[in-house]
Amino acid sequence: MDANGTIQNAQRHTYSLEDIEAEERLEDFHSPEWRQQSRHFLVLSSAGKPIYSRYGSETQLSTLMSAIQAIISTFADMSDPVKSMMVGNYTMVFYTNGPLYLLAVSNSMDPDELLRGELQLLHSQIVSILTSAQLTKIFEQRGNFDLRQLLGGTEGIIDQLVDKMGIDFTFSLGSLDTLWMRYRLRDRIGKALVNARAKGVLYAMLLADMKLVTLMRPRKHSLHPADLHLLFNMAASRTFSTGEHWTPVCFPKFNDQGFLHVYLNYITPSVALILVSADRDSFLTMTECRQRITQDLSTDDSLLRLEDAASQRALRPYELGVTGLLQLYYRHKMLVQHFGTRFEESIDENQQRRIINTYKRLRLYMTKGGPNPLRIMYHRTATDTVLAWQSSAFELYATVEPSMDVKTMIRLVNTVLEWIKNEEDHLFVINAPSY
Amino acid sequence: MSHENSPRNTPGGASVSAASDTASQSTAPAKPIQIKVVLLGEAAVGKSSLVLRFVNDEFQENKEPTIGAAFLTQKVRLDDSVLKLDIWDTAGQERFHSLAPMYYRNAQAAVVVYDITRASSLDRAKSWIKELQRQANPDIVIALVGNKLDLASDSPSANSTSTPEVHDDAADTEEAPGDAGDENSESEGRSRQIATATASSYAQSAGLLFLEASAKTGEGVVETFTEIAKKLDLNKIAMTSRGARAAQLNSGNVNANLLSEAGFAADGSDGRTRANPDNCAC
Repeated sequence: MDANGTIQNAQRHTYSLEDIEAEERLEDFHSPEWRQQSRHFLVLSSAGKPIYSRYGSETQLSTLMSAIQAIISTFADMSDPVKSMMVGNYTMVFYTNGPLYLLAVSNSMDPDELLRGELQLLHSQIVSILTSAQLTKIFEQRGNFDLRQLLGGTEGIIDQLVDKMGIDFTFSLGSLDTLWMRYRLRDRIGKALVNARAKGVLYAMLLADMKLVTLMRPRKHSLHPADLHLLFNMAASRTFSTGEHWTPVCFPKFNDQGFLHVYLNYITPSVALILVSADRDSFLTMTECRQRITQDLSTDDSLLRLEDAASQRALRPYELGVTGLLQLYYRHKMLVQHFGTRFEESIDENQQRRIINTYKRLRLYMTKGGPNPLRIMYHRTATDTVLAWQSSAFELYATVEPSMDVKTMIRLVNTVLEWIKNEEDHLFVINAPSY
Repeated sequence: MSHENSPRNTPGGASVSAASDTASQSTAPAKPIQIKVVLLGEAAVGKSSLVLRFVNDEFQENKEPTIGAAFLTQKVRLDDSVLKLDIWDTAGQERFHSLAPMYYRNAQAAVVVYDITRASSLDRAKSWIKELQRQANPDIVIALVGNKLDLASDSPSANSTSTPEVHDDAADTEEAPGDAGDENSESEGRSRQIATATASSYAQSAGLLFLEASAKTGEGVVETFTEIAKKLDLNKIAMTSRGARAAQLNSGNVNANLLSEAGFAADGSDGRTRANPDNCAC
């Protein structure tokens, strides 16, 4: 098969952000730039029609898509669905869900489960735009339908998700990234959300750079983190930067058959307010609710301080009171929340990707390890020294100076844990308001 | 010129363009008359760009496509009255079509936009106009606006603007919905495809305002909204607006059918607890 040859001959290459723009212009999958991408995500219909590709234009990829469709349906006909293939350095992982076929190709030695998880999230992203009900119906009526007609305008959001999955640990952690801020301020803001709540507002949340400030929810229900990841990814799109927005969004884990309606407005340059309603005619209620919230937060300096906290970005490793730490993630199991530091400045983008990739793999081994999961994993190469550690209360992933010995590293991690314990109230959303 | 007064943090707030600045200070404190305006048209014709030019006097290259609908407001002054335009900028994509009635319902004005460099977009505009004339408020003032005038070689402004090819990159990623047979190749859409006379005579026969505009240069943008304002029957609107607003407020109630439609029924198929309508929304 032609595609096999293509992939086999491709060289190992990790791209930098500067390259992306140039590479995006190259539409043809025969071009070296297309082949050199380290991660490809493709979506096609079960009839072999192209739906999405991270790189290149789907139309130009139609031969490749047909080939993929042929592979998948050949195995499906033998009732032994193809799950993955190894081609040279490349892993190809397949995921089929109803009328959609998804394929990930990676040269990073990613375990199948990782890529399959990412394909599932990509699938959820498409469902969140259209609902499963609509997807099923469309393809029942017209098996040959070109789904791009209906996904038009969302390419940016899907691309952003795919890119973030490659460089951000959040999606694999399956918990919510939280903004580090003063407990009192967070509490004050949470109360403002509750006080401003109007009939019909099911959820209200504030978000800065995909990090949660606080979230108001019904007492007996909470949204699944995966649904919130998709929502936060959407909210990060530049399209929302001006004005108030109102759009249907499907939350696949909540109900993949129907839409909820999302109000979105940046109340400061960095902070988005999101209100979720079940009633598509309730925009007016939402906008009045927003007015009450911003008025309330403007009576003192809360709004200013919120913007201040939001514009600080993530913590730097040294702010955790240790030296030699290059990056850290800490996941609070009970709260299903986590925070991550920035990378130490000396770490370049390739190394960042490699470290995130290591985290993902270590987490997979720790959490899918059977009846007696691993507690501590120590990963050391010539360039990276990484520790993954889980207890019943937390998961921790830390990268330290490569030369650091184990003893020093353990001491460092203990110091960090002490710091986190002291800062816990400010790191996490402890008392999320409910009604 | 643009960023200082862009009211990003206060949507719906007092964003007043230079043209209307004096309104708030000098004249009698007449309550602004609220006008609902909806923008409709094919994807990537520049609806959001026209609104952003009008409201914030800014232009973004490669604007991200609108998702759902965006709401912005702008006050304008017309003779002795101040109008507060509540502008609904809708997404042009096919999947949002079914939501459109929500936005043109009760609208006093509609701006139906096409792209003068894309023939299919005028057909789409015409079908929007038919839908409006059939289903919208019978008094609705409709303006047909041909955008991207800066790309027309016969336009005087074409000489002063450069690099027309970056103008509508968004168009490259958006398929013209519904007419797959009539592919708009990307090399097209760079020069005028719709003659002014063609659109103008159609507009005249259909009883519409007609303008050509460029969100990029600003040409024709303020004029579009001014022309609309002039054509509105303000007395009638002022008289009925109070009642209409109350009706709108009432429609904000959550209704049980919508809740169950959205998954609040207790089917629990994924094993997660779901809120039931009794204790979640009331």
